[in-house]
Amino acid sequence: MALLETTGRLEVTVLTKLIFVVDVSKSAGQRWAEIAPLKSQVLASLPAGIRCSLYFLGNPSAYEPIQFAVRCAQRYNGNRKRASLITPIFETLTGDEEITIVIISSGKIFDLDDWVDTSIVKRTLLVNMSESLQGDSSAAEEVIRPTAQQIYQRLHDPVTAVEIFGVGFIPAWWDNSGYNLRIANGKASLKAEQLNDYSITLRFLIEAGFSPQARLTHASGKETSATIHPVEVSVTQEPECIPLIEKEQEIFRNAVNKASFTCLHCQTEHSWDTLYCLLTATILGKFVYPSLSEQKVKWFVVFRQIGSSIYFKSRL
Amino acid sequence: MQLSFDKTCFPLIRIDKAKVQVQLLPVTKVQFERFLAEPNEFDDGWYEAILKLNPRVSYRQFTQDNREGIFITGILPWEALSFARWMGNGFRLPTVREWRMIYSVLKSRKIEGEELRDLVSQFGEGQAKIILERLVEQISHQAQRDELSWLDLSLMHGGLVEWVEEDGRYVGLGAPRSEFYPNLWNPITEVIKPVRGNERLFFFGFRLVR
Repeated sequence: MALLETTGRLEVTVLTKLIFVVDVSKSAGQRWAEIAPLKSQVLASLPAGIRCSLYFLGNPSAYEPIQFAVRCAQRYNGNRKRASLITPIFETLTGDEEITIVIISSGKIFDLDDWVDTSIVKRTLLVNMSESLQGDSSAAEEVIRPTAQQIYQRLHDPVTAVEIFGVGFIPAWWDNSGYNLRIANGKASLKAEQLNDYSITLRFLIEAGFSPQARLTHASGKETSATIHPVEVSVTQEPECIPLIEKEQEIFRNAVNKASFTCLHCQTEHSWDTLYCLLTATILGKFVYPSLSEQKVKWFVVFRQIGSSIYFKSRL
Repeated sequence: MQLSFDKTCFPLIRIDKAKVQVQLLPVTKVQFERFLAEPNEFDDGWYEAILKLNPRVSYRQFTQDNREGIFITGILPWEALSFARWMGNGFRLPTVREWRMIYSVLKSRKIEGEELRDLVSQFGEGQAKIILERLVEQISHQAQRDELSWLDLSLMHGGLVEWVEEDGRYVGLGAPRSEFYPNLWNPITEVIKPVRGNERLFFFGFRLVR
């Protein structure tokens, strides 16, 4: 099988900013007695670190929750005659990639279709109190008459573990030290648990034609998947290719041909698949390639033939 | 062609012969929604009734077949005037004479060379630019000719019937394309008078002048 070496990045976003949009137009006004307490219950259940703002459908002005609570009736009356339109709000929020938006309403939002396939609508949850907010369209995720607890779990179901794996997947280096290498049944994966930040850039080998997968486990037990996006690696980030000395290159060529070789440490024959010489004074043994010890390599090492010489590179 | 923009960031062109600035396109739904988003007498129920006559099509996705869906239609003259007051700066419905003069000027004026590219370059990124770029592509394709006139672009022909003022009353001028509403109207010689004053007609829209 052909293995390709590539670099990718996994971004795992966490809820930091929440936008509530409530509809007090005539079509939804009859549901206000349900909308208002639902919003309040969800707000009360959220962790303190999450910043919240409130909007009325059609109105681009934001309110802090405390402002909203103090003059709720006044705000309600002042916004009742606005149409069910989301563009005035989305226009002010576009570009802020940290927000999650919840729209609580009943009845169609007239201009939601204008935002199909945009990043902001992908971070929007529609809460339908009796009539669909998007009709036959499926611009955004919509839930029907959820409880406050259900909305809370949908918004704040943090990731508790991530595992990255794939066909022929071998990680070479990565920038998040919370991840650990796991090998099970001859297959390698990277796994992390109980981290604050699961985002990671990694260099890996993978079988040609396949992509690595990331499995996210959430606090509720739910599992989701995420995409590892290819990234360009700058020349300064790319590990240096270091040549093996001549005798090490001989060992490598023997190993590739599954032939035994003479160890540079103990001067005895070792099997082709030997990586550590255990016949030395050190308990843990020494690399059969002394250059790797000298360079203090960590994690995986990639050997590559360039021209007639053999080189290696690794995260140092 | 001298270009400026209204408060909804949609283009106006100056017609010296008529001594007015006129909206380049009929009023779109996204423009009218800016008005609806503010508290006024037009609620969701009103807009739902309007959209039943001419369903809303997203300005990002309209095609040659359904482009009339991006314009506000089925509207009554006093409702158009409410929008005009909200627009401010003296906006109003054109008179029959003004509308016909604008029509004739635009018909006689070809869009020259780089004029269209210069026009679009004056737009900021937004709804108007997206709409105009799609319309240009569709109208050019439909016309099957390289040279367009400003009349083609304005959709004063091949668009809607538009409310205009005549001696204190309101009538319609325009010649929609047959795919939208079959007709043989000549807006230079004929006005269209709805049978009932409060009748909502799906092919009636408007544009403003000042």
